[in-house]
Parts: sequence; C-alpha cells; structure tokens
Amino acid sequence: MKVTLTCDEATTICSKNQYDEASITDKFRMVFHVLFCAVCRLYSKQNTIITKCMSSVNKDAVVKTTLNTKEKEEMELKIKEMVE
Amino acid sequence: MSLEKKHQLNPDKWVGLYADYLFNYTIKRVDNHEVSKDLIQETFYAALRSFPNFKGLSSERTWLVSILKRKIIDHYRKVNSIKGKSEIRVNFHQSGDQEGDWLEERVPAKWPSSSDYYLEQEELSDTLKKCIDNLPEKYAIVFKMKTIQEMETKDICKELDISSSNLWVIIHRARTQLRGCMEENWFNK
Repeated sequence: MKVTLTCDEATTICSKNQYDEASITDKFRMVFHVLFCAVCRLYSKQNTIITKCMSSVNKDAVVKTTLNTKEKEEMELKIKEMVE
Repeated sequence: MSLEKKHQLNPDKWVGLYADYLFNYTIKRVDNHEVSKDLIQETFYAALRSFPNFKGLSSERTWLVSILKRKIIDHYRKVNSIKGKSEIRVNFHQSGDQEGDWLEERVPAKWPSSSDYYLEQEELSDTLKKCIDNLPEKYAIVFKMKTIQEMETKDICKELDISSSNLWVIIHRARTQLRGCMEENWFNK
C-alpha cells in the first residue's frame, strides 16, 4: 500500500472523515499529506467549517412551516373520496 | 380484514394523527412546501391502494413512513433525471505528471478569521442552501441523503445503485464545489 497521496485523494479522505467514516490508515495517510501540503491543510480546515454550517442548516430546517388547516381539510376530503 | 389483528387502519384519522409528523419528516428532506404536501397525499393514496396488504405487524405510523420513504426517494430520482445535466467543476489535474494535484485556479483561498461569520446564521444558511441547489442534481441528491437525511452509506448505495467508492467521490466533489461556492458568495464576498 502506498503511503503518499495526491491532493485529490487526501481531500477525498478529508470529506469522508467529515462523516467519521475514514479508516484509521486513511486518516494517518491524510494527516501525513496535510503535514507537508499547505493547500490541503487549508482545505481541511474549511471543509470542517462547511460541516459546522451544515449542522446549523439542519437545525433550523425543522420547524419553519407546517400544513395549515385548509390543506389538511383538503387532504381529508381526498382520502374520503377515495375510500367511498 | 380480520378483526383479531393487533394494528388496525383508520384512514379517516390519518390526516389528524399523522399529517404533521409526516410533513415534518418530508420538509426536512425535500425543502419545499408544495412538494412535501403532494408527497404526503401520494403516500395516503398508495396506502389506501395497498390497504389489503397491511398485515398489522407494524403500527400505522411506521407503515405510512415506510411508504413515504419510498416516495421521497422516487422524487429524488425524478428530479435527478430532469436536471442531471449541469456539470461539476473539475478541481484537480485529471491526467499527466500532476494528476491529482490542485488546479491552480481552484486552490482554496484563505477565509477571513472566524469571529463574525457565525453571527448571521440565517443568511449563511440561505447561501449554503443556494450553493447546494447549484450543484448538479446527482451530486445534490447524494450530498443531501448523506448530510441532511443522515442516511447510512450502505443504504444510499443500495438505493441509488452506486458503489461506496463512487459515493465518496461524489460527496468529495460536491463538498469541493460547495467550498468554492461559499468562498465566492459568502466568505470572501
């Protein structure tokens, strides 16, 4: 198995690691790459920021809208029509 | 329908009992009010049609959610086939001596220090959502399933019939494009 990674490979592992799914060997190889590669180091940092932003998007996606009474009544009506 | 069965179906009460729950579940995954409403309506229809197949082994709600899940994935697929044409940006050299290295014009730029950009949460979320919507649809779907639906890797692979390495390449490209989009539209605006 090769130890050195290209930037493409290193950043792929970095993305995988955002979901905690990178293997230990991959993580080691990535850390090794990042040690010597300033660009990927910066990318890793920003990738983590994106992850943080995403978790806040997920949080406020929750309770913004609900079905209103009229919409529910229409649904009920449609179901009744079909049952009959 | 025999009467001994543990769980019974009461379509008259479905809307009252489950509409809110199902809507919440759906809106998180499709992020569109009308689409969510339609998907729930379709779910109720499909449930009525397969009424005789309900064995009463699971609760009504679980059964409805399982139908809804299929509807959501069908919706993802449909959107995918309509809009799957926009292209992903290439960020790395694809061949030659420098294969796998950053393309010069795609190298990340430094972002201003972190102190103030978390303050404007709502705008930041909006920008991020727009960036996700600008991804080619297939990338958006996989990215959403993994990041917003928080589905297991193997489940996504099964649903979309792709390999796990394929999935990670898609996620990686999506995230790289997202990073670039956020850089242009948010951090270094």
